Amino acid sequence: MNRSSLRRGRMVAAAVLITTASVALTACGDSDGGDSGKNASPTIAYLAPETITPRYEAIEKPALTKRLKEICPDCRLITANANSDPSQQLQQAENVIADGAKVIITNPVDSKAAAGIAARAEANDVAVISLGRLIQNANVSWSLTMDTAQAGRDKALSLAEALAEQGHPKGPIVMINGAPGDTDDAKMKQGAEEVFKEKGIEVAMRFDTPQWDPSKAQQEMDQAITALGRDGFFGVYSSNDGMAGGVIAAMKSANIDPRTRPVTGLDNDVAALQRIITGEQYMTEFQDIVDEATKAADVALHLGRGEEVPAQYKEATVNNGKMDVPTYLFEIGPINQKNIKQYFDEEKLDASKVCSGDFVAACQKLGITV
Amino acid sequence: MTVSVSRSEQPQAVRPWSRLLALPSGGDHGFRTVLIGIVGLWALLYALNPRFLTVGNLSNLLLQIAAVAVLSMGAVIVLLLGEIDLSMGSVSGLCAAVMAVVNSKIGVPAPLAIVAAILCGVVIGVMHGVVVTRFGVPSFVVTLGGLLTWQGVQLAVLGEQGNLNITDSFIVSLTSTYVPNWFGWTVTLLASAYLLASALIHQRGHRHPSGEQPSWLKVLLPRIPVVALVLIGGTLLINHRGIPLVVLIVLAVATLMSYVLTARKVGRHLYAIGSNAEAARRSGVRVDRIKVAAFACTAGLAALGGILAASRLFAVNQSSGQGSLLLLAIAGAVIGGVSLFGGVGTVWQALLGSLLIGSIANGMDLLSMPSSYRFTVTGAVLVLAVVIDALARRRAAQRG
Repeated sequence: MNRSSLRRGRMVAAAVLITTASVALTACGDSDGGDSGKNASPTIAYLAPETITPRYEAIEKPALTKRLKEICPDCRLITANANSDPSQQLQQAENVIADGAKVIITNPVDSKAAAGIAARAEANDVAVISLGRLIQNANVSWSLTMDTAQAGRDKALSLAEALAEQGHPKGPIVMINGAPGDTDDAKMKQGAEEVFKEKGIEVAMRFDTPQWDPSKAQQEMDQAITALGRDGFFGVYSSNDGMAGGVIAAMKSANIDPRTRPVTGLDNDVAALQRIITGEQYMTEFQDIVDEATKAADVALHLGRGEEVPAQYKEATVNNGKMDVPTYLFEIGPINQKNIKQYFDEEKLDASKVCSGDFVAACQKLGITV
Repeated sequence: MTVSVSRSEQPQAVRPWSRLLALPSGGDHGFRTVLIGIVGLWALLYALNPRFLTVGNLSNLLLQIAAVAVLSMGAVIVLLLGEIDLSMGSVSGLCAAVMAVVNSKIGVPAPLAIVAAILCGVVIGVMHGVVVTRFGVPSFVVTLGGLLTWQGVQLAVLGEQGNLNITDSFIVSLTSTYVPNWFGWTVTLLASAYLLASALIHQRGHRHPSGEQPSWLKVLLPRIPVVALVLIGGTLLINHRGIPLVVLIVLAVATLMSYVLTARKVGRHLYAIGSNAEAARRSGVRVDRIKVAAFACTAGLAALGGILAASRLFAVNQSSGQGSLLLLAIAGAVIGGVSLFGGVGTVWQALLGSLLIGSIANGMDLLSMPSSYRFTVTGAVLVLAVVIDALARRRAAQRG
């Protein structure tokens, strides 16, 4: 008894130690030349929300880093990832402020909780740029986002079009939404539902998917197929690409050819683009993340230098409950088999990543060459 | 609560192979509680949506739980020692990523890639085991560190793209193939025959205290439900689309593990260490070696679980192995009746526990219920199962 309580004590101590160590670890970003004050090369911080969707670490961060190097080679960029934990993100914000950041570019984990980040930043005279989900009820310097409801409508309209082509204009369909409570997903859902109502498309089953987990989406789809029968649905609205992958896997295990049931997505994941090329996934909603990140770097430099941000970055204002936030809306639009070549031709998508290995032949069929 | 060490010293009476399937026959509360729980839950879900009890759905259910069941069985090994492995989810994700990258990016044939992935898991497990035994760091801490570390390595292995489609037909076939019917029938009949025969042989090995031999009917009776389940289940699956290959893989792993754990010296030593490590050490058990081997097996099984999950999803991504996988794996073992304090539990219990948890998720999705309910219900079932088990044990202890 005595021994076990001793051991438990040690365990708790060790757990505390680990927590402290991890805090210390997240606290240290790059540590070259940290000076403060509004100068020509301000320190800029990028706080990513999670590692599950490739968007942040694979697209946003590299594009931001690249652009900043071009326009301000001496600027220091600190980066951190909150692993889906809002409180960790707040802590990371405090750390980068302490580390001398003059601008925080954040893609908030939780757009409401991130008001705390904005408040800390404001108190320390640090500018905050909100990417993606707009930080609510707080003073935010700038926002770069997409028309989220439009993204939902785009997905739903694409699906409606495909359903009509296949002779089932009224569905029914299955709706696989993202994480419950996600404000962005709620807007997309609303946009999509409007379209379904307008077109008279029946939504037979709806699911919310914790953490946007693809394997969870797969199980949801398994169960939808069981509940509705193999011929009880003619298309699937999936809110993003990862989940679309799960949905398509579920169809395959039920011996349903995914080419006969249009599935939507969002994020232009490489895996999803490959599925579009082979015809397994009907569409993905394109988001010009590179453009978003590039413009974010531009805005950050202006703000960090204490300059006026040029008007070209202010395409709209969006009210976040406390103020009208100057906003840059980056490009979105549906990618499907018919128009995907154009995206490669315009170099908005990287063919060398998509058309590799088993997918070379399918790419060639669509006239896409690396 | 504890299995005495002396049990490990009286194996002569029992032929090892007769304990291959050490199915609990009597006095095993955990097993029976879960079985009743599953029957009750299935009845409830059937009442709410009759499609729940279609063969198609149950076949799906088996496919859905395959990966988590393998992790759950892996958890049993360390739990028997009174240790824990919190890194199983991360290890499963990492090893699946290793398999996918080695196969699709480097071009290694799929079977070799799978072997590489499992070896990767085993090596990780050995590292956990060595740190635990050499430095005396609690496994809770070592594997908590592992949870974060291996998740990081997984992200690095997947690279900036973050997700990989699995197109290799061999890997995909692991979870999407149904075995030919003649093979399905052979396995079903052999398994049933074996279950009956082993009960008789097992009985002959054990003399009843009173000296008299119980009638063969009495010996076979406790096995009838299980045999019936195997026969009915096998027949239904074969008549549907066939027995899924992955179900046979999981059962083969379970059988092998059960054999090693109950009929081999190393397995009995494992139970002995879990009951009382010091006593085991004094009686000559090489505690450290067995512990390292146990962590290696657990991580190796985590790798296998990850491979099955990836095969089923046709993809590996940054979220593979994360989310609730680890918690469900451990919960499955605990709901089945495996003790967190070591020395008590079987792989079959972990399988049943996974089946129960899997049924909850399956049924709730079928009813299109919000996922908030799913976590709440699973949590409640976990606590309920342990409470019922504790009450049953207490009553048994009072009866002496």
